[in-house]
Amino acid sequence: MHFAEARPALSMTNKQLISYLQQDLFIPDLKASNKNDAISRMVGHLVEKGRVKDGRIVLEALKTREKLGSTGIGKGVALPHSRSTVTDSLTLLMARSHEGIEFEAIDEKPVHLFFMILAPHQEKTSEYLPLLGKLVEVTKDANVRKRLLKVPDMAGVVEALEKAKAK
Amino acid sequence: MNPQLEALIMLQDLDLMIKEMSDQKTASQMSRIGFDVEAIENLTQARSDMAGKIDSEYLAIYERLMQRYQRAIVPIRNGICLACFLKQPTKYSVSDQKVLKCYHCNRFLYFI
Repeated sequence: MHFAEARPALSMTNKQLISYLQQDLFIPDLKASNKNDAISRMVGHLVEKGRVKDGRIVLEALKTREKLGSTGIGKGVALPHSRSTVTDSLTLLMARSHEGIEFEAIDEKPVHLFFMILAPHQEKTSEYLPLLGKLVEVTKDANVRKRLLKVPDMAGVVEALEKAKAK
Repeated sequence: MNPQLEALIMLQDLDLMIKEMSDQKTASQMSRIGFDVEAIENLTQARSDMAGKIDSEYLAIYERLMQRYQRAIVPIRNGICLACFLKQPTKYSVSDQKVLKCYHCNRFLYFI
């Protein structure tokens, strides 16, 4: 399904989405040569910040997920995501690339905004799919994407998402 | 981490991903969100490749455990298996490079 046709599957509010953002899980200018490199660097950031202990296992899960179909949903946005045995909580990382990274996106355009989601196989509250749906929904808005490309830090990301139209 | 345990965890992640994406309700939700999840055959190939990296003895135990339980590899914390919640031998430690199994339920253990 194309980005433009996508519809959220399950509901989540902007406030709930914002609650998953964490100050240190923002890479303001991701440098990577290709899709695998981009995913590796984002996982590396999660390891560095102590959110993931076994980076190789998480990396394998994310790369395997991409084999199902690219998570580059078009309009310069990608949402790499997977569940993993070695993850015990729902984790969201945001990364931005000013130059754009080739990510085999469905519109074949470079990706500038990345939202990486990791989740355990069994969640206490089933918010993995709603979070994915909400991110697709908010990034469909060209104004939100434009703001996210300019914000200096996570506080700016929060502000941009607060201004996103609530559905 | 022991390379065989690492491969077993990767195999479990693959099996659970295949199971989730084969579920019609989840596949439908993913599709509604905007993600194509139809290339399951790519995952089954990856599963076959990963299984090939695991010693046959461990693989046989894993397959048996997956038939019996939802997960064959589970966390251990503070000396407790977090699947059956029973105490493990004190000799089990995070620095242990062996593939450890729960003394009670026989599941593979990884430290968190």
